[in-house]
Amino acid sequence: MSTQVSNPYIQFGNTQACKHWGFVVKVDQCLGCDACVAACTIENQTPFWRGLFRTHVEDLELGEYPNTQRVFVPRLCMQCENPPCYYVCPTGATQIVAGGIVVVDEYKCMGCLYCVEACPYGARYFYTYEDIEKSKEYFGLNSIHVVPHVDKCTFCYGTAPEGTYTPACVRTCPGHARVFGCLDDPNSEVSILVNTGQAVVLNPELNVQPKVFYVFNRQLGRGGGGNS
Amino acid sequence: MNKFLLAWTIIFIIIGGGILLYGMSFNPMSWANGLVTFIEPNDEPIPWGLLVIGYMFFGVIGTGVSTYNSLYELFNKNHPEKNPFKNISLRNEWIALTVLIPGWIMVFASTYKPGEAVYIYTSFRDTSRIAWNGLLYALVGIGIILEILALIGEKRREYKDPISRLLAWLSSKSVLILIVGYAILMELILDANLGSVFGYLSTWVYEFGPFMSMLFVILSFYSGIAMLSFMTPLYNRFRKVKEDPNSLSIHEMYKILGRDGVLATIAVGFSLLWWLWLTATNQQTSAWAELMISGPYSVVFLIGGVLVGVIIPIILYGLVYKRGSSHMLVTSSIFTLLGMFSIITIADIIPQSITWYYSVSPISPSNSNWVYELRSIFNNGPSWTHLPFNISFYDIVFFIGSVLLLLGIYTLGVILLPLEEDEKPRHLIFK
Ligand code: SF4
Ligand code: SF4
Repeated sequence: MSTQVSNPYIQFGNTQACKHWGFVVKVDQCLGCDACVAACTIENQTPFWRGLFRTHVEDLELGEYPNTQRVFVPRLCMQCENPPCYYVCPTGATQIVAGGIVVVDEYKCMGCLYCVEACPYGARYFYTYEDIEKSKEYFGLNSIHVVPHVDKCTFCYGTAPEGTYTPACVRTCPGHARVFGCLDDPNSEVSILVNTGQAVVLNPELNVQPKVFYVFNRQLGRGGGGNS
Repeated sequence: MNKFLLAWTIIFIIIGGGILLYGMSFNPMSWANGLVTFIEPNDEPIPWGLLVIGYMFFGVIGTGVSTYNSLYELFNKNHPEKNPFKNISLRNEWIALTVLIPGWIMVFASTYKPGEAVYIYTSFRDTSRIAWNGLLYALVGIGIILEILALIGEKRREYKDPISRLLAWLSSKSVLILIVGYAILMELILDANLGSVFGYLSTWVYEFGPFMSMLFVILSFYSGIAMLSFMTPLYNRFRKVKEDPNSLSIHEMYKILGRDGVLATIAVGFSLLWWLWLTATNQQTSAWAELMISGPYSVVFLIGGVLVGVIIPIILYGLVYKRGSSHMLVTSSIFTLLGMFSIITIADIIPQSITWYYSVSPISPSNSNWVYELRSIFNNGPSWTHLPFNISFYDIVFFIGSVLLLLGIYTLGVILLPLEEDEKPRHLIFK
């Protein structure tokens, strides 16, 4: 299923060091500061002028007074190993590239939004012509989006600096809530968290096999949480 | 040449085409590449709106007309006098082809970059139902065009030029059977595939899978019969058609349309009943049923789908079967087509209008009872969220433009092609 794409924007060698990049979100360590969102917005030039981002942080309030909890849950594309968005894409624009990363070839995308419908995690949005014009206003010659297309998190595939492949959000997170690494390397932090069962996926019943995992340490009762 | 028809054709092609050009900001090339400002940014929670409903609607009607007409053609090949549509078979195929045109236009208009649709063919992805739609629409178009050429070929047997000989060969019994059989097969597969565009999505609840494919096949018969029930009496009145002593009377044809209309409508009603029943009694999907029975889409479903689309047509078609009345046939077809529009609207928007809260106990740490929602809205709400459905101005422009264009293109065929029994092709395939 893995292919190399012709779009120069998504051809960066350093992502090929691993076959399955993985991502772990440590929910308890998220401060809700949105630094990751800001970093991603600049790195990937997401249309913040329309309130659209590749990653966002959900601000959840659980329980009822006085037993309440506030939890921040960062969300991003789950880089599914079995991605519904890939299977429905009629033009072949959605591709799985080296590293197991799901990307969109913007030149091939026809904007049918089938992938938007199919993605169970709501990770996709459309980058319109107006957005491209707007991004030129903000980013000038550094503007990276050329033609309208569906956009999503790519683990900074093609934008992360050479040699140190780490997504912008991970580089920025002050609480170290975001961990990135190679799932094939048993000694990487992500592998250890996943293999020891501390990190789990959202909605495993869908069998899309996300490569983004979550560590939830909060226990029911601590601060009264839960939303039963 | 009929001056009224000519004026009608020119006016509708100019108005319909003009509206479509307006929708493209008078710049088709930029429109094809998604580079015009008229296309509105779609941040709506329901991304598939009127144009998706529209292409399903016209696609299913077009294939339905052709399948229904072709089945009578096929099964009465040895006894043409028993085919109620013998004299209007060619016209019916032309109706089928022209009704597909707004469907084709809306398919493209519903995407942001229609020009990129070429990649459907150059890098075909066989797991995508929309990719299959692209292929099947083309195959169905080829089937109907071949059938039209073959039926015209039947009228050109006396000419001996190479084109006439080719057309005559197409109209020979065995080749025609092959063409008609191919067209029927492709049309049925396209209908099933249109349904599975909805049904394939793994995160939409299960009965949308095979059920939608079957519903769309049934709808194609239901709407094909309705379209012919609408066009045939109007046309007969307009052309003051006389009875053909060698075939069934017009009155008999209306009765057959009435009978088939009753049967197809019963099948649709039964499917709707089962859809509602299964949905309402399943814990995971009962919220959908709630939307249809008492929620914001209850008017569309109960009045549009059930009353207008099933109950009234069954009564009216039943009366047509008894009396053979042309007025009643036209009336029942109008109700049926409105009902079909409502049913397709429901099939399109219901699954998009709800985001579900999934309980993910397996992922929750021990002693916790997190509930996580799939599409990023969270917390303590009911088990689902209802999202609004809006129709954009862009959608309305393309819908109206392509329907008006259909009216002009249809009569263009009436002017140019020998669609009637008594008309002969004198210049190639033209009159
Ligand atoms: S989360 Fe959505 S966009 Fe990301 S790979 Fe999975 S299905 Fe595709
Ligand atoms: S919107 Fe683009 S990426 Fe998504 S399914 Fe359609 S062609 Fe593929």
